Amino acid sequence: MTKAAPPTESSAAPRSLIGAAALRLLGGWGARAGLSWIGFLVLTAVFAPVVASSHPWVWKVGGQVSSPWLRHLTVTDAVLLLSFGVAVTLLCFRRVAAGRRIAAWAVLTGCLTAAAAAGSAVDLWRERAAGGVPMVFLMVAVLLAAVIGFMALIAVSSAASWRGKAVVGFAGLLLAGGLAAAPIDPPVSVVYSSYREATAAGAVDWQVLAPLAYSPGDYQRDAMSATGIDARLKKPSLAHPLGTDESGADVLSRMIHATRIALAIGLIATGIAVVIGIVVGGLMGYFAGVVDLLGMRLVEVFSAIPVIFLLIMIVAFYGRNLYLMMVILGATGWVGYATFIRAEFLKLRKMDYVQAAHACGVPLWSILFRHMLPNGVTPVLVLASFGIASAILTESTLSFLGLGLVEEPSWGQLLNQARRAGGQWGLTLFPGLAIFLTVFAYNLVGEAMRDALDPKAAGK
Amino acid sequence: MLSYIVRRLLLLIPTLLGVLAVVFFVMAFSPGGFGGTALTQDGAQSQGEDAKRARKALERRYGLDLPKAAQFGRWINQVSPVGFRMSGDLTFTDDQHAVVEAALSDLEFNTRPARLQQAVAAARTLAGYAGMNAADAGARLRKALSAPAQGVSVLDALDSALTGDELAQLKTELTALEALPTRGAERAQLELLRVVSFEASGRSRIRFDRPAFKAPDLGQTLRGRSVGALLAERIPVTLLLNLLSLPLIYAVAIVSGIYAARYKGGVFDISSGATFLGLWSVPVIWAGVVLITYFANEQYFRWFPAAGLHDVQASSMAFFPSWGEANGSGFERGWLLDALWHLVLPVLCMTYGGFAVMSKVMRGAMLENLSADFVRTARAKGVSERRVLWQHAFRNSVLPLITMVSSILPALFVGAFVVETIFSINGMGKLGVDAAFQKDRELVMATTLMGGVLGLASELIRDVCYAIADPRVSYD
Amino acid sequence: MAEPLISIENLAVSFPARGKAGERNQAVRDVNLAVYPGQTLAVVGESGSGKSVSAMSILQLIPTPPGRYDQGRILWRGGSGTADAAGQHAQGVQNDAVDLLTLNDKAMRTIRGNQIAMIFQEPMTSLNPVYTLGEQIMEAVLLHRKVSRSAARDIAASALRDVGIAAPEQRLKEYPHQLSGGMRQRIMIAMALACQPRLLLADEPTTALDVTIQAQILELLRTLQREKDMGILLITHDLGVVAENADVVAVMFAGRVVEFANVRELFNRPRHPYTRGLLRSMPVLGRRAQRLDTVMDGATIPDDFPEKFVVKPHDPDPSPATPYGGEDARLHEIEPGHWVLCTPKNPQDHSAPAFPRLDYRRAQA
Repeated sequence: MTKAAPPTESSAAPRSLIGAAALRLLGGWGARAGLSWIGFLVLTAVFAPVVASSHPWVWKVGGQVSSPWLRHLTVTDAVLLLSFGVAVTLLCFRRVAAGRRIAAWAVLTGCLTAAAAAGSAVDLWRERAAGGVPMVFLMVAVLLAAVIGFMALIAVSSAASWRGKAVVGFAGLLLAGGLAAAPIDPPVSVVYSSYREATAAGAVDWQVLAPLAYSPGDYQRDAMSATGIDARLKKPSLAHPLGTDESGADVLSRMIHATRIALAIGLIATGIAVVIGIVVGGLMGYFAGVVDLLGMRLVEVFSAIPVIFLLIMIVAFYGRNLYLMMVILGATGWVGYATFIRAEFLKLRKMDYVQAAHACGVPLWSILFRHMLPNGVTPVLVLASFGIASAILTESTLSFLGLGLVEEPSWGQLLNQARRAGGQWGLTLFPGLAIFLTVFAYNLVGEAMRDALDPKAAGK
Repeated sequence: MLSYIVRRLLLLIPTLLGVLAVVFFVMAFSPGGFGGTALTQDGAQSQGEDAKRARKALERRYGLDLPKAAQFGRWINQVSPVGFRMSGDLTFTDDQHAVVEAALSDLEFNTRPARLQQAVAAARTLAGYAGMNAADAGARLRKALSAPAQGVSVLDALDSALTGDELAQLKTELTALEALPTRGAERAQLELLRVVSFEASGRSRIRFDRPAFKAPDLGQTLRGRSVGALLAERIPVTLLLNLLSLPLIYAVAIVSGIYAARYKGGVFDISSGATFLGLWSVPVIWAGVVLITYFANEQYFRWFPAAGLHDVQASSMAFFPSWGEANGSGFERGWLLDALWHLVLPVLCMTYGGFAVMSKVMRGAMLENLSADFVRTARAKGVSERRVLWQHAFRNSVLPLITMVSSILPALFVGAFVVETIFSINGMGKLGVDAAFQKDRELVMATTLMGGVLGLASELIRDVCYAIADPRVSYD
Repeated sequence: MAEPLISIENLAVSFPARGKAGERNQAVRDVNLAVYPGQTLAVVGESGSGKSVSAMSILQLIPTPPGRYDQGRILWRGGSGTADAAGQHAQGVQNDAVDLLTLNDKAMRTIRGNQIAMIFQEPMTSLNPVYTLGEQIMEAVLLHRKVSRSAARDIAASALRDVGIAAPEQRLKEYPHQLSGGMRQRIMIAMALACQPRLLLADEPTTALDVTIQAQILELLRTLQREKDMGILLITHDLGVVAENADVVAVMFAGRVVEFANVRELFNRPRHPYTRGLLRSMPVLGRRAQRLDTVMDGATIPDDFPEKFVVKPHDPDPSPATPYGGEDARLHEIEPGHWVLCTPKNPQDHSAPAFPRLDYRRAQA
């Protein structure tokens, strides 16, 4: 159709060794700053319930010492904290290669996730309506299957010794079993005001509170009756460093807990998109011809739909659901990766070593995924980094438009409130700043990765 | 070139159909279906006979009683400029009108002209549905109306949505009316005419006779407004925003990109690079909220208006600003200035992201071209530095900017969703968001159509512009 | 004795060293060259020996910064395009010669493409892809001649005809990508010659072309030179091209001219070890060899080298600071018309080395 190459399909830069690129990446201040911020967010996400919670860590009421905080810990909190603990423990095994430790961490976290998913799947199955299986159950089941498959993939592809694998597997079973057996059963409805009432009534002998003694869902409805002060839309003060939102919840606490959604949606949505993109793009690029032609039409269709509009529509028609949002973001965002991998594979399939692999009778999946993919996939990481940034932006935009989750805190949702509450500058400035910094961090990392992978820059 | 454009336009059609199909079926298979509470069985509004009628009217209007694929086909047929006509599209010529009128006018109850016209309209839709000619339809209706209780069967010809029980009930009602002592027959006739007119409303069936050219029809919103008219009202607003933003983005990007490349490593290069990298990551929603909170708010600086595109009194203003004692206050900003004043913040929100991306692209292209061999040749010819910059390097650096059109234009359209919502501007973007909120199928489809056409057209524009700008590219 | 058209005297150009702040790499040093009207001076040397930098310096095409002209003069006696440039004669007046290095950008532009034209080694990328050939040739004409566009088009067409392009009017409307490499190099030459320059700097004009096209292009240059009595500074690393085309040859190595003589003398009696090595490393058709000689293998000092002078053999890791002959080596005319980079044993001998000048043209075949 065209004589000259279409201008959009920029040719991929030939790349150097990943390790050298990674070193170059870490050498830049931009990547360091970006990765530091992301690391900070990860810590915040893991320790959110520890840092900001209305539940006293430990208190003594009526002569009995108890921990309301521990009783209200959810399965998600437990999985995140345990996974973090695993990571810290693995950091101590300095003798084991970094790659092995990362793989071990991934497997152990997978075990925890699988245990949690299985637990909630069982719950959902028990509670299923007469009408049929709820959609959430299917999603959880898919998640479970994905996690188990992922672990199997790591186990198979890892070159670690059988003993090592056995140790990690045993530890994983132990963790998963421990999590399943743990009496994690947070009360469905929480009355936050009971703590303040108990304190006011003098029933509490002593208590250790979280640094920020407000849960994100603590709307302080008691404040009005107890002190006569309306807790809503308070400007920043010592008790509420960023003030309160229009329902009376602490803005900082909500922001801290919102890091989870921001990080999860970015990573999972982009992960889905990358996987779809690699599969579709790889097939298109490898088989070319009719497959390519049909694939390109599919790509065109999906690139012609404004993603944000599709999302708005789907959320409006199917209801608000974080997992659905991730799936949709992934299902619509794969186009960029697919075209990229396609262009790469179109080039690679002509390469002598691919032809040679063919001639040796290497099976197709092996050619595709072991010989071609590693040579074409590194630049996708750059795209993925920008993809995470844009997924976070999209989620916050949706929440901003009032299509996000209702109860769960989200930065975009806080920003939406800021639109209506001009005077509360804690609400106007900080959630937006958090979105900005996170998007900026991922963009910085992406830029730095692009530079690190660019052979022209490498020479300098 | 022309044949290439034609080929591309033809290829555009299946893609567009794909886009529309994805969006349509996502809506069609959603658990609540479309139409929100207006159509749900258990909603408070849908109790009683009126609600049932309203629901039926919607079903008729959107063809909801058809299978989902047929609904999509019906919608496509409706918007396509070439296609089958809908049953309600039929119009009578004067002759046909006279024939039908003559057939119906001798009925007793048709003493008033309005009733006669209602009957003629019913005959017309009957003709449309049943594919009869005018005279037959007139005769059929006349026969039905002259014996209402027996004439209920005419509803079958109309492909009525009434169930057998409902038909039987209607028949007993009509018989009861006929039996009334005073004007019984007339009341029965009127009732039948009402039911027939209602069942025939909504131009709901495709008449598979012969495809013809027709005016594309985007349908009606849930509230019964014409989508086409609504779009005609909203598109210019969004277009205005985009037409202001696009040149602004390009102008800023080109100037700053060239300047940064010309003085590479200088203060401007580094500071603009850092600024743009930051701006690139600033979410529009935050920028919008901060701008509207601090620059359009009595509490801080009320420099700009917070909402809309025009002042309340804008329609009474003169077009241009005016000074002098004549208008009392000394200065009146006039319609034009008022509109520009309202546009400052929204346009700022829509453009800053574009500045960042485009000026980076421009700078990179300029740097590459300034060190190209042909620039050295130009210098060796004695071409001045300014001319080297603008004639040789710039002309080649424009090419990547042209490729960016296809991502900038749809991005502006998407940006409009957010910006128009923040600044309460009644444009396409806000319409789309509202449409999704209200689950208004025709509006959502219309917005998708516009977005899809825009996206695909911008790709076509890009390729054509590229072929014009770069002599190396030819599509023959 | 006639004055040369251009003489480069003691030129030194440096660039900042990459990765080392404050340090500078000396690209060329003590470069002395001269070209007479109608003469072809071939500058030979390996990549990075400073050939191109010397030629680019003539037109001040070295970007400054990062480059810097450290010292030297480039005296031009071909006249300048405008009276404006004549004002510059105050400096370095020498038989109405102009020091090109002292000219400002505006004055320099009247010389570039007008009095002195240059053609480059990459015909594929040296033409602007978005303008027609006509536009690009006419640009130079319109810049330097006060003519109308249609007259400029005629000049461009005749320039194309001069370089042997058929149907020049049609070609003017075409774009560079529609031509082959050889054609593009012809266009480059036509563009350079459209304003009838006195001096043509040809920077490896045939490197990117295949051998038959090479011969055609060089033949074309010779013909045009004869017609217009134009000086040519031919930069090349192809000794065959030198032997065929040059009147006078300057051999450059590591930023310095190491030998300067007429073409017969140089090929028959190379005196400098580097030149000898260079010539020895040329494969000879028909002679079988286990392995080809490298420059180093052949780098010897000839037996009959004048005893008054010292020249060092090959330095395996040459730098501009220590080229052949040591730090204080200069070009000395060791025999009439034969300059070699060396050091006199007795400092009194030839203490003021003359700039090499050779008004020699080979007999036309």
